[in-house]
Amino acid sequence: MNCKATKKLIALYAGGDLPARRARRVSLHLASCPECEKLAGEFGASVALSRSNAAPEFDSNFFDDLRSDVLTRIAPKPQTPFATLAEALAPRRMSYAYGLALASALCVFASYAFIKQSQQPQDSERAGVSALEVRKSEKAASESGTGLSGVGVAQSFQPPTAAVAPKRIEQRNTTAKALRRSRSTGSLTSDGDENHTARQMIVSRSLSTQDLAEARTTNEVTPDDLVASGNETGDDNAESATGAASVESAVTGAEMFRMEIQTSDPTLRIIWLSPKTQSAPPAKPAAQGS
Amino acid sequence: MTSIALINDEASPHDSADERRELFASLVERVKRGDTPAFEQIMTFTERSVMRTAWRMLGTREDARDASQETFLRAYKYLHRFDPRQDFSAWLYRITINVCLDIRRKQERRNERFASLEAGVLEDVRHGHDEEEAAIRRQHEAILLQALETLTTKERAAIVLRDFENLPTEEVARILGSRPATVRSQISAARQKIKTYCDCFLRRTGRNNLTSREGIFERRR
Repeated sequence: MNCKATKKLIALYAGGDLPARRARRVSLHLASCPECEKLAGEFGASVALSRSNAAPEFDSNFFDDLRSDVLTRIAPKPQTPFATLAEALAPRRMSYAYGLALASALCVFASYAFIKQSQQPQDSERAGVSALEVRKSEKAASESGTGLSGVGVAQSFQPPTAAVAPKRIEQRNTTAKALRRSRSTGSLTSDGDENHTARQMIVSRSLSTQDLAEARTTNEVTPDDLVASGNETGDDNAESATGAASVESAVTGAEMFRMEIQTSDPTLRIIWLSPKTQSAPPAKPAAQGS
Repeated sequence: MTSIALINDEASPHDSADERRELFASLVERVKRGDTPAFEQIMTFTERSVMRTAWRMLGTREDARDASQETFLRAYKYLHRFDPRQDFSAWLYRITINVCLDIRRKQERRNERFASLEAGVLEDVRHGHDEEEAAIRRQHEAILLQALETLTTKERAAIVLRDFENLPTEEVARILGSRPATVRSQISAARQKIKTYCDCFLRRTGRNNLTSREGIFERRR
C-alpha cells in the first residue's frame, strides 16, 4: 500500500473503523513511512479529543424543568364540549375533507350549469325563441295559415329604424340533401361529413320584405333561395349550398314576424322575417315529401 | 441486536443490553396503556443522552433544550408505532437526529446558524489547577463545536453518533437510514474537516498542540 492509498484510509484507521484486513495493511505501511505515521498520530489525537470531550453538564433542575414541560404538554386536557366534538370528528377528518371537496366540486358544476342555462335563454331571446316556443309558434302559425313547416312564428318583431344592414348569412357545408331532409323534420342537421368544410358567405344584398314574402309564398326554404336572396354570386351548386342560414339583421318598415329555424348545430340558425300585417297567402307545408 | 447505551448511566441500574431492552419494552407498554409516569421514567433514563446529542448537533443550550423537548413529545406521540422488538435507544436517537435536522433547517432558512454558536467559551486559561483544567475543557468544547459547524448536516450527524456518542458504525447507519459504507465515508470526511479546522486554529494561536496537559493532539507514540 502506498502513501496515497493510506492517506485515504487514515481517518477511518485512526478511529478504528477499518475492517481488520485493511487496517493491517495500513499498519504495515505506517511502520515503514514516518510521514504517514505522523499523520495517523494527528488523526488519532483528533478522534481522541472528540471522544473524550463530554458535553457540558446540565444540572438536575434543568432536566426537572424539561420533564415537567413535556409532561404538561402531554397531559390530557380538560374536556370541553367543543374539544369533545373536535375529538369525535377527528378520526373522520379525512372523510370530511373528501366530503367538502365533493361538495365544492358539485357547487362548481352547479354554477357552471346555471350559467350555461342562463345563457341559453339569452341566446334564444336574441334569436327569437327557444325550442318550445318554436313549437308553439309553429302550431300557431299553422292555425293562422301562415306557418311554415319547421319555421316558427316566434314573436312580434319590431325592426329597428336603421337602414337595412347587409345581411350575413352563415353557410355551412351541409348538403342540399341534408337540408331538405332536415326541413322535413323541422330542423337542420349536418350530414356529419367531416370532409365538408364550413363556409361563410356574406350577403351583400339586403333582404327585402318582398323577397321574404316571395320566399314565404313559395314556402320552400331552399339554400338557393337564401343564397340568391342575399348574394347573386352564390353557389348554385346544391351540393355545396348552405345547409343553414341566419339572418341577423332586420328590415325596416312595418311590424314584422320573425320566424326561425334552429338547426341541430347551435351555431346555425335560419331567421325569417315577414310583415305582420301583410295577409300572405296560406303557405303550404314546406319540404313535404322532400 | 445490541442495545445502545443511550440510557443515563446514573439513572439506570440496568447494565446488560437485554435488561435495558426489556425495561424499555415494559415501560413503553405501560405508556401505551396510558401510564404517564412510565413515560416520565423513560425521560429520566434518556434525557441526558438526548440533550447531549442535541447540543452536539445544534451547538447551543437553548436549541438543545428545545430539541430535547420536541424529541420527547414526538416520542410520546408516535410511541404506538414503536415495535418492542426494536431497540428503543436507536429509535429515540433517530427521533433526536431528525428533530435536530428540522431545527437546523429552520435556522438555516432564517440565517441564524452562525449567530447562535456558543463561541464565547474561548477564553484565556486561568491560573490554578482546577480553573486551568476547566478552561481548557471549555476551550476544547468550543473548538470542536466550531469544527462541527464546518461539516454538512449528514457528516455532523454521523460523526456525532460515531465519535461523540461512541456508537458502532453499523448502528449509526441504522439510525441514519444509510448504508455503513456511506456512513464510513461521511465519518472519514468529517474527521478530515475537524482535523483541518483544529490545525488552522493551532496555527492561528501559534501553538503546537491544543494542550500539552491532556496530551491531546500530541503524537501518539
